[in-house]
Amino acid sequence: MEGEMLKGHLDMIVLAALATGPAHGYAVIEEIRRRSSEAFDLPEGTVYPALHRLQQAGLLSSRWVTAESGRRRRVYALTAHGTRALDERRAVWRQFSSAITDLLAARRRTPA
Amino acid sequence: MIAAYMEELAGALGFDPALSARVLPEIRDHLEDALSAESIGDRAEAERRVIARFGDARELAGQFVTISLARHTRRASVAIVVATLAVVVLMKARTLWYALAQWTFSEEARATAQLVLTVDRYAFWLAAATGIASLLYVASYPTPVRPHAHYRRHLRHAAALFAVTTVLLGVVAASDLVLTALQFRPEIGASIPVVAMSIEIGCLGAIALLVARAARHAANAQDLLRR
Repeated sequence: MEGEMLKGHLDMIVLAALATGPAHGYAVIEEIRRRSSEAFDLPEGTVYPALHRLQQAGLLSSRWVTAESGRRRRVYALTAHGTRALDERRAVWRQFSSAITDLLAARRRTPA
Repeated sequence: MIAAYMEELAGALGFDPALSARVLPEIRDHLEDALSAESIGDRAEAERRVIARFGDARELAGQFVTISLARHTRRASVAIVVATLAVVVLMKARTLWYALAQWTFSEEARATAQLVLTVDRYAFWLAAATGIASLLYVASYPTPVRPHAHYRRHLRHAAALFAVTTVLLGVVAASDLVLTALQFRPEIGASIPVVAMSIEIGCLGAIALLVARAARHAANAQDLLRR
């Protein structure tokens, strides 16, 4: 899929990836890849500025946890504000997607 | 190879050391996870693949620029409002103390004091208005992905509001200094208005430093984008 097209929706994609529960950056990318059936192929690093930007906007919270391996990881979670923002974006996207689908479905009429 | 990549990224994020300290451990962690997930084989080749998937270090650092700019701008706007509140508290405390200690202006100083008091009052209310306006203005703009022209214009407007508020607070501090000097009596308790004035000037100095730092930071970030 086009990189620029994805970048325009990156915040929504990251919020959606965290809708199933808190996760660290690597797991967020894995989740995006899995749920998009590998269709979204962004440079993995791109997700970190998005995570920090969303946290700055109050849509995500983060905390450091120690994994079983002993490695410390920063885990992100949706805040209540983030959950509401995702619901709103989901509704807007459905409307937009439905309109585009209808538009693209229209075919040129063949002259009688 | 990962170590060299981390070094390059640390250098590219050098425009904001605090942000760099927050981001680098996370990215190191990510690269280690990605390397562990790679199939067993040539380690150098695996590291190359991991870095290629992660993306260019400079390009990534560039994506953190707006986050850093937004953080510094918000911090400066909050500090300005806090400093304005501190000035109110200090002004009220000093006025109360003048009343308790029965410090008044002499007949000769009364006309000058009245003029300075008017300047002080207007400068303070204007500073409070521009300070609150800068806070609301900065908070109203969501952090963009890229520092596009519209965002750069927003930052310039915010910087102008900061500068005007700082100058007005400077006028307030100078007026307060004159008013204190006009009724100053070197007696017991005189240290109270002097200490209050020192704190007020200290607050102003801290604000000026913070605004200058935010401006310097914005210039550094712009340099990174130009490179």
